[in-house]
Amino acid sequence: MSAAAAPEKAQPQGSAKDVVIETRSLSKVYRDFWGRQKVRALKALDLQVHQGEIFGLLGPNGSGKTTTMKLLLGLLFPSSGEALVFGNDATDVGKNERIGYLPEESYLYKFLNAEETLDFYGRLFDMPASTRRDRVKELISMVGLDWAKRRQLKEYSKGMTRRIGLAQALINDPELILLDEPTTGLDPIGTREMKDLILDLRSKGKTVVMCSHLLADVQDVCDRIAILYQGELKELGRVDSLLQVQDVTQMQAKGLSDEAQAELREVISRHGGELLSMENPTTTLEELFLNIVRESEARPGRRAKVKREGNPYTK
Amino acid sequence: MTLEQEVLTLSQWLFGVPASGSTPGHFGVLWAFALVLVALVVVVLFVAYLAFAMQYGPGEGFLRVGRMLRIAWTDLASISPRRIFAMTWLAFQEAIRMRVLVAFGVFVFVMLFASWYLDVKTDKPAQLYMGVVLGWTNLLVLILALFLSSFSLPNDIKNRTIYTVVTKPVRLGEVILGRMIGFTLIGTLILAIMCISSYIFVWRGLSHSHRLAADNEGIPELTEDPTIEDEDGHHGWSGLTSESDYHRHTAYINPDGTGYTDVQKGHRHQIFNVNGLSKPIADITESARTLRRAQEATEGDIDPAYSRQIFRRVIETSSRLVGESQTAAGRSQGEAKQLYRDLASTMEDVQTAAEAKKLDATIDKLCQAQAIVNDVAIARFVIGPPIDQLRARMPQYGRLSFLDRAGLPTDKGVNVGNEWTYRSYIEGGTGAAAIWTFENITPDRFSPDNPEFEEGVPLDLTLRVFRTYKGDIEKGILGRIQVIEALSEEDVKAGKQPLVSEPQIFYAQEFTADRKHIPYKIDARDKGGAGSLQPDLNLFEDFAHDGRLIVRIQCEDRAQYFGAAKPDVYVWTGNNYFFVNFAKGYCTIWFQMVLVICFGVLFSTFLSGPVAMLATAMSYVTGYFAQFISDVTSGELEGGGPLESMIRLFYQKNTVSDLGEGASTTAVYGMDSIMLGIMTLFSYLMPDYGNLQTSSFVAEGYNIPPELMTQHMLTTLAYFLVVAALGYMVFKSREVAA
Repeated sequence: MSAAAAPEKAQPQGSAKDVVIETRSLSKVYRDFWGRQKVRALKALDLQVHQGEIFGLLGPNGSGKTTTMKLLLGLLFPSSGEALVFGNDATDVGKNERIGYLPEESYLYKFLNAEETLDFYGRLFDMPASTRRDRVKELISMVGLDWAKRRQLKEYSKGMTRRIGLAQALINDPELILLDEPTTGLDPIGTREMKDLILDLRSKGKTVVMCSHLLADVQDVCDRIAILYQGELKELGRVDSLLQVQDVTQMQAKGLSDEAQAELREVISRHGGELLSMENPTTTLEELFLNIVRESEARPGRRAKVKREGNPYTK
Repeated sequence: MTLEQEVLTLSQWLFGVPASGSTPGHFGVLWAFALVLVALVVVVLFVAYLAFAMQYGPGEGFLRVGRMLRIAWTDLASISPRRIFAMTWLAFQEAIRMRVLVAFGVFVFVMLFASWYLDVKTDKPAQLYMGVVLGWTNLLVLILALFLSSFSLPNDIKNRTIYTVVTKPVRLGEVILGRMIGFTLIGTLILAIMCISSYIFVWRGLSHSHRLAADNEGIPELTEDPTIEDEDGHHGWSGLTSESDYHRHTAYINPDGTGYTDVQKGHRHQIFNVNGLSKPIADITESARTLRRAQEATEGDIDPAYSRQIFRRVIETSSRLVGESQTAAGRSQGEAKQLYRDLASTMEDVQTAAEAKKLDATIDKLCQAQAIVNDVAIARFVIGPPIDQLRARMPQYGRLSFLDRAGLPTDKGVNVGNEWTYRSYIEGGTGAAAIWTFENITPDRFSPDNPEFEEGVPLDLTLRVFRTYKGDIEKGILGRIQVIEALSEEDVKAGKQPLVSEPQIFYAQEFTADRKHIPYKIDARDKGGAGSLQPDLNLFEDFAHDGRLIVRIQCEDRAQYFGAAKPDVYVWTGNNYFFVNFAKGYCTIWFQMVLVICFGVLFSTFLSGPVAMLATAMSYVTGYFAQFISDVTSGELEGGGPLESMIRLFYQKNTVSDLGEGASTTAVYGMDSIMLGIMTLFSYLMPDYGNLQTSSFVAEGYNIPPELMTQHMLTTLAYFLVVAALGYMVFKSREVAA
């Protein structure tokens, strides 16, 4: 345990029981053959993902999204800090029983066909043959590949490969699904279906962690997001609250008496303003994202403050 | 055959044999295995602790090592056959898609054209064929194993397909095991096909037949051979066969028409008598002989009734013979009729001559008739396929001891200047002798009722000869075999002299196993051979007490030498099925393949494909030349380590010339000793591939001892388990996505 992570350990483990993913000062340094530092891909990341939410990891290329994902999956070992999944170390194989993972480009065995692929992954979950057969059939029809289930994957288009990739991620009916760029390579209809599917998964109580740089997709489906830039966490919170423009007030009122309105106008005019309506407007995620990137480049080192909070998505 | 390393029994091999006298001891492999295992565990734990301590500090390091062991234990406990099967299936599919069957194609290609390039005139065609198929199979299968095993995991990591696998609950041990088993299965499949096809290749390549008495090929006809005689005094025949596969045999046919050819190119043929037709020939011959005897007895005055009786018999058998020859020898009806007519007219001549009492003419005509019948009948001798060519002799080796020229016990014979000290030599015409003691030679194993042991206890000799003068080079060197009574220790203490059999004299035949027999009835002399002659003693009752058979071999020719090693004289206990032995030879290749796959997978867990392949190949070479490396290290082989030998090559200095003194020489020696140390360590850790070769057994026609097979199997299993565990550890310690 590194010194940086030591104070964290004193705290009680995740204030809520339903914390699915937790990282504590999670850092990753890539080194070359001689052990020299090549790049600090992730710097002391603190995150919590709760059960039943769709959590988005956002960031430009090379910001550490995929590294975070790989650390959570145990494909990489942390240089310092901890990554916990279901309360266990991310390198623990046992956790894999309950997770599904769709990699960035569905890395599947091209010499197998769809059925063989799903059957193979089903076996890795130690599923009995009958369960496997049912599950394979169900998933293939869910991702709409019935017509191509006997074809080798090397003959598949990118969209079809994504679909079969998604099917293999769901073979074990996982509680936590990690999706790396789930919509890349999909046509608009496919993208819509994928987003619907993600929302559907949430409605079934599953937790979804996705990373993407397609902001519209993230804005559409994610409950909370973390924005990473150059390995640092820049922003973290609910999508709706993050998109509020805090320094602009927008008011729109109804049923105020004339006196009250006069009073308000007076206050506004005393401050030299003109009242149009009264509310906090929202911006687009794209705007927010670009702001963060611009600001990070202007003032490096600023980081998001993470509050440990209970899960707002469960009652 | 040359057996430089004695085949130990399983318990000797496992638990070791202490050194005694000149024979070096053997360290039990079980202990060696335990030692290496403990050392490996210590090294792994130490390295793991060091790595953890460097990252997390010394205290946390211990905890991490503990955690690592706990995880390893849970992983081991939760190994699932279904997941291993899934990984195995994947590896199998991958191999098929990687077109591994191309290797088999290459093999078939080699098989198809190999016979063009094989030395058809070789004296040992079986050895040659077997060497070719076993050698090629070995090479191809090992290359295949090398490629399959060392590229698979690195490719998986490079293509990142491993991501979707290791994010499933599959244990890394299962990934490793699945790969090893999968590749082993595909290799087994290919090896099995190769085994069967090469068996067919060898069998077809060596199969041939000869014919007898084909005049138009210029081969002398069979002639009556008075040295072959049955109990009734009938003579057999002998003669050359037709040429086939660049050789011909001499056929020896008994009066009943069956027989064998002589041994040429390591095989002989059995001669069958189709339809038992040779008896009539003997009848006609006998008739002629009877007539001649009658003529001599009566001085030319034979009773016509008697001669008619004989002629009738001859005509009956002859006509039957001619009729049958039509179907059996595939003669056309016309040919058969012509033969019959010829025979009938000759027989009429015989009759006329006999009635005219012209006995000489009668006998003449009778001989003509016989010649016609011979022509019909001899074509009916069928020479079978080669026998004794593809065989698996089961030898029983004995203990070898020596007597020096004064007849006193000694450790070794004479060294005739061979650097290869495998054989020891005994001088001819002196008291020097080589004595083999065979155990468990009992009447229930060797009895005259068993047709294989009819003549006695079979003893095969492959003695080597060393001539100090040329002598008659056509003739072998004379030797003698004697059986010595096996005395108990009490008898020896009591000063009793053993019975010694009368010598059996033989000419030493080098390079072939010369079959001699120790007869069941032996004439012998007591008082150590100096006493009076006692005829017809019983081998088991009078000599081989407690089943201990002592055979003494001496060289008769003065100043010539016999070379003897333990396996040079053995008791032949029968033959095993050749195909079983052939398959056993393939099993040994299978063991090697499994080991190469294990190491390939191990190296591929942390090296890239080409590097893993190179490392695996190096491990094979190191294992194969383990003995050489250890000899270089111990200084038994001159020439020094890698650097020193390179310098010697460069400066063209021979292996014994002094390199001179100085700092550079010291540095070279120092570096070499370090390199040799590392190489020796590795050569001890790698499987002894050199010892895992049994093709010579198969090729030379010896059964591969079951003990050896068991040892190879256990060795392979042990390596499989340890290497799989190591592979798991290494794979676990690396970042799959790095």
